[in-house]
Amino acid sequence: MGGNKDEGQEKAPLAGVLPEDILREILLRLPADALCRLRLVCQPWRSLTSDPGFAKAHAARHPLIAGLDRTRCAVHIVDMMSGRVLRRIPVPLGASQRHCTDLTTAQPGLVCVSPNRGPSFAFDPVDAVVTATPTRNAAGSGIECRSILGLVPSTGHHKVLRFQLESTNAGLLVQRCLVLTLNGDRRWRAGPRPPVIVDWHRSGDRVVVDGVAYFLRRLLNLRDSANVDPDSIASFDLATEKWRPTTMAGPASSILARSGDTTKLSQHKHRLQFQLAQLEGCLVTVHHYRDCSMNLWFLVDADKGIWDKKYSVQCETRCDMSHVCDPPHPLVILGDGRIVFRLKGGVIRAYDASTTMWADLANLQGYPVLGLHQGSLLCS
Amino acid sequence: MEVDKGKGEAEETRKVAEADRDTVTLKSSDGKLFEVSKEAAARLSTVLAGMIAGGSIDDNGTDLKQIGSEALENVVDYCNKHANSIPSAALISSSISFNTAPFKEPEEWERKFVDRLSHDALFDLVEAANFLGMERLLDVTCHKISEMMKGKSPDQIREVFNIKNDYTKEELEEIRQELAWAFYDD
Repeated sequence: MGGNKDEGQEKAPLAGVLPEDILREILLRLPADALCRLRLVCQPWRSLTSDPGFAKAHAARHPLIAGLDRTRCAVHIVDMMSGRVLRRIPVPLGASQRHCTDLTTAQPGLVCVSPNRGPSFAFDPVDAVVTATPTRNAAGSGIECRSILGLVPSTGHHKVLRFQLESTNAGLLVQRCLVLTLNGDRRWRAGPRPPVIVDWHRSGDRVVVDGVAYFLRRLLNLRDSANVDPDSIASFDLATEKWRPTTMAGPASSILARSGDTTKLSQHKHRLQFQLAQLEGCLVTVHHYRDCSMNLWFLVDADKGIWDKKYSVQCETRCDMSHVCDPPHPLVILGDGRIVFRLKGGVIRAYDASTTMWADLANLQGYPVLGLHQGSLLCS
Repeated sequence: MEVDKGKGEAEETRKVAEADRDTVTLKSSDGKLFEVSKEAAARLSTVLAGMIAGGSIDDNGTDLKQIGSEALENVVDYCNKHANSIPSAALISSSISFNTAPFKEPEEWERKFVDRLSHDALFDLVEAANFLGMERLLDVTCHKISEMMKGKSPDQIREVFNIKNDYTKEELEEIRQELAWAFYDD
């Protein structure tokens, strides 16, 4: 024991009376704003709470939501478990920009908001330094300004996608796609056209998983919806900036195809609604049924089109008809296995598949648009 | 053989008695003895479970040189209270995903159990829980300490944790500026 004198002296100042591993366990329980204030205690506490490993462990236990507040002119970072607002970041809207309409997030900790027109804004809430996307150049002249943010894992760059729908002289709809590398050459590039016209407006229409942006196929009219599978998914590789030439069959149509059933999915007796989501790094298709139940299908193998139905979730009756117009959207799976959903209007609830019980987490009904913040407030 | 018979029998009896006993005796660093339910000790402490399974429990008091008598008394008290309180299934499921799961709230009695402790007693207990691999007690004590830290000024924290301020005034001001958002009052 006597030989450890030096070691003991080195350790002493960090936690004072407590060893570092115990101090770490204690600090992991405090919210991010309290930890930032505790950085005033001493330098070792500041280093511990700024460490990326600590920040990652903290984020896993205190998931955060990024949401547009009621005014749609500021982004709030909210503690998912308590609903407490930790950070408010005003969006530096231009003179012609009324408010924001959309918000997307990307690892590590980047948030992108899109106003009704003009440039979008991206920032990391740790330093809240906002980057505005360039004003559009000749590559695009449409009015649609929603920007979808995604990380390219191989390079660490962030890219932003925008879409436009235009009518040709012949009356056909054409979808254009614009790509921008954030902090790159600040020019929108004209990307290739998607293989089908895709939806991109709502959070369930699109999702970026591991450098690939996935989109649900848009159903343009009734005749169309009778002939195509509404769960078809188009995918865009953010690194190569190329669309996969064909759409991928969703789980429901794959199963119909495999069973030899020739009726189209849309004619099937259970009318379904579909959403895309990302859970545990997987692309997930959510099937919503009329009876307020849903199935969560995880993409296991994109090339072979193999989907795995990991969860069947029964909603509580209280969400009834709202299920059709504002269906629950899965945000994240917690460490204890519960799945967190955003429900009607912005209520955050957790579903425990082992007990089939729901529990309230936070009421974020004041937030018209929200998403999982894929980062931490402790370090960027 | 004849000569040793008496002793051998006694030994045998003692061993049987030990195996049958439903308590184990623990000895603190300052030599005090405490009895604790064997079942609860094995269930709540990975270290004691290992010692019981490995037969390294000393009937005359198993030495726990790292733990003082006050902390050990609290540990034993906690084990005995726990023995009558929560089914083990709840504990097992709560410890599986310990690393990333949202923290479980302490039970009412656990809250009361740690509420009555002084800061120093709490710090000794958290270290004892850590040393004995008592996940649930570690959870409860860490929770209590984190609650106790809320709303305290840096000065008060330094006093409780016995920490020296190693910042200059300028450095403190710099941090306040950098993290201004965290210092707003709601």
